[in-house]
Parts: sequence; structure tokens; C-alpha cells
Amino acid sequence: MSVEVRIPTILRTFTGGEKAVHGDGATLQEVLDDIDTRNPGLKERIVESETLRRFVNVYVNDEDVRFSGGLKAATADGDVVVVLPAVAGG
Amino acid sequence: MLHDTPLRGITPVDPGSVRRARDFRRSQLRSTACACGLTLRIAVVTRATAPNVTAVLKIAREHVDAMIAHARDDHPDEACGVIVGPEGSDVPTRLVRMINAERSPTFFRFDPEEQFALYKEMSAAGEEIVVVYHSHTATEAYPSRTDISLASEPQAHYVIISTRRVRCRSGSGQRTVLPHRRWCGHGGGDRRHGIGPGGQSLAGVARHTGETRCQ
Repeated sequence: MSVEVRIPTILRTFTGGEKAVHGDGATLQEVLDDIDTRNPGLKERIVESETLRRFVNVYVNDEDVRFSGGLKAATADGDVVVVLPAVAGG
Repeated sequence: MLHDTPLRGITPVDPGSVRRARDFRRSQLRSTACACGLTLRIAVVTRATAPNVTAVLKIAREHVDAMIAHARDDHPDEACGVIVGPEGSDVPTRLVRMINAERSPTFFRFDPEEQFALYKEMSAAGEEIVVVYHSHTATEAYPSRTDISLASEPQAHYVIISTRRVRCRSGSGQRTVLPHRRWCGHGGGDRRHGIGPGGQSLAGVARHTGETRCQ
């Protein structure tokens, strides 16, 4: 068991085209660190200066992590993390 | 003749530009055909990140009308939404109006909760975003620097509808009219090169839809 991280189309260049990758960790930060070891550069597209990038939304089990601790949001085996780039413009 | 008119703002400079320049011309031709047809046709540039994209995108007239109606409804704030379709098909079939969480005349951002709900809906139905549309309320229908830097759906085509009021000169002087311009393109990134940070291409053409009048 591990945490499933669903990858948006634009970041699948870091995962060899895979729609989802798996990682281990008790927090979102640890999971992202773990998957970055096998998919170098992926974390940098989600995290900037130790916080989530402004135009990236991350959900752990349907919960927007901005309201549940950000990178410190708890994760457990079987959880599903969804990364969604914000659709925005000017 | 429109097909020989150079595009403003996009200057192909890299060796790969020949293909895009050709597609720009095609885009203008298709747009011309649109004026008297039932289908809006937009040229598409093949992208390394979306090899299954077909050469021509068609948007149903009802969806074009719905996008313009949405832009009018939300003016002076920017309106935004999507047309989704079966994954990998590049066929837009279902239009969804989205809430502009910014409620701004100069910026849009999908409401994160609504976007997540849409994501789950699309995942369950095997759909993806085929078209992302939004309006410009004070500028022309052309991608802004912000649009280009934030474009994050490499498989999607970006459509912009302008609701700005412009002045044009006629025999009786200047009058304010409400035109609608649409810019149709996709991807994002550097306008000069037409290539986005994710490798996606950018192509487009701004044009009048024929609704501009001087009275």
C-alpha cells in the first residue's frame, strides 16, 4: 500500500506519461519528496520555496490541502492525492 | 484575401516555424469559411505533448453562441468555462460554465472546488477539457502575457472572446459599438516562439465575427 498521486497532463513529462505514480510518506511533503526521487523535477513544479505553488491545487482524498495544512497535510496508505493546475489567465 | 495577411504579435523565429506559419494561414482560411457556415473551424498545430490532436478543431455553433452569451452575461467581469469531450478525441461536446473565482474584469481563475468537481466528473466519464474559453472585457481577443504564462492544459484549445467597447469612425463621427472578437489557439508559453513551457504550441488568429457596426 502507498499513496497514489494523480498527475495532470502537463506534468506527465516527468512521469514517462503515467497518469498516476505512487509514493510513501506521512505527510504530503514526504510523499512529494518520495515520488521526486523516481521522477526528478516533478516536485519543483508543485512546490516553490517550501510552499505549494500559487497556481497549483492539491487535494488529499477530496480535501483541498490549502485548508488542511498545506504540505503538512497528513497522508496514509491508500490515500489519493490529486494535483490540478489552476485554470487561470488575464 | 485573408490568407495572406500576417498575424499580429506572433513572429515565427525558430527553425520549426514553417509548420506553424502554414497552420496560421490555414487558421485564417478556416475562420473565413466560418462566417457563412454552421461550424467554426480553427487550425491546430500538432504538439509533441498531444500527438492525438487532429488537424482541425470544430466547435458547434451552439457552443460558440453559448460562449458569447456567457461573456455578455458576465461583462464587465471576465467569464470563463470549458467545453469537454471524450478523452483523446479532440472533439468538444459539452459546455460547462465555470465560476470566475476572481470576479475580476482583468483576471479569471476557475473556482478550485468547482474545478475539482469537474475533474471528478470528467474522470468518471472518460472526458477531458478540449476547449478553455474566457473573455477579455477591455482588450482585444488575443492572449495576454498572463494567459500565456498560466496556460496549463496542453491538450486544450484556448478561445478568447472580447466584449470590450471600441470606438470606430464613420461618416457621422465616432460611435461606441460592442464587437465580439474571438481568438482561438491553444497551449501557452512564449508568444514569440509559440512554444509553451510544457512543449505545447501556440497558434491563433484574432478576427472580427462581423458583429461590429458603425451607426
